[in-house]
Amino acid sequence: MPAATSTSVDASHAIERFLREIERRALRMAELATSSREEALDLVQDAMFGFVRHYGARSPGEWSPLFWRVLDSRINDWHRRQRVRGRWLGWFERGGDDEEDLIAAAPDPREPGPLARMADGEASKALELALRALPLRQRQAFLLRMWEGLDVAATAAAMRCSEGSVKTHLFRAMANLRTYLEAHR
Amino acid sequence: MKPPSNEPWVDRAVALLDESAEALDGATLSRLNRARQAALAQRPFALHRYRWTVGVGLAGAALVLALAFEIGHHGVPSPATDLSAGASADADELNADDNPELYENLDFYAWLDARQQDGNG
Repeated sequence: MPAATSTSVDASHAIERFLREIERRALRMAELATSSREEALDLVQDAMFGFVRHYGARSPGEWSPLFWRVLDSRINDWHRRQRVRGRWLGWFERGGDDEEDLIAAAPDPREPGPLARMADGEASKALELALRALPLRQRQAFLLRMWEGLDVAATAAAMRCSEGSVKTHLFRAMANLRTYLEAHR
Repeated sequence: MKPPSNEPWVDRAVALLDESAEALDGATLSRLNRARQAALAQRPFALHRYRWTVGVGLAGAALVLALAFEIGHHGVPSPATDLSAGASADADELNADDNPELYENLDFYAWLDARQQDGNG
């Protein structure tokens, strides 16, 4: 049936355009969560497969929060596996919940140290460090809301939490990042 | 569309993140491209499988409808009908007058049978 085939091809092109437009930011988001490009590439590939398989037939207007929801789920699974592995090996336990705030354990940026002596050109690296030090949910809320530009409802859908939780995570993330980046203003 | 921010550092952070995404190396972009193509490759298969499922379903539905029409039109053969058909066939066979000589020579065959029995006795 030519009409059906044409529609299918159009849909495939639309999904490809969507994925191509979003994949770089998805990789950076996964990389900030895992601190590993290889792991990040695996997570993004899994997310692409899951998104196309489960949500490819949805209308394009729904794609963005659904894709981020799939990727967020993959990142959460990855963190869960890492926690279990860390617990078994006893090497380290990297917290992903908001109860454990890694920023608090990080060096105080107001004290003299490497961060205070960084030049402006190293702001990108400082931001990367600050984002990696954030608890997972805070980082996801900041990246989805402020970088990806999702509204509160879409961010809540992507993170599978309430809109109130999104606001709380975002508020804490902004406060922690502001503190961390004070030295680079 | 980025949400408006009252804090300049947020705008700068967003700009830095955009730059980092644009600055990905060729090898990484190539792997992203392969991942995207692999993910999309499953889509025609899913559509193909969907068409097969629909086709088989429609064929099954057509078969059921045809059977229902056939049964409704001719009715289901009942055991009573079979018996009556069998009885009718038996009656036809009994009434068939395909060997009239047998009946005409019955006396002869009865005499022959009696004679053989006497001979044996």
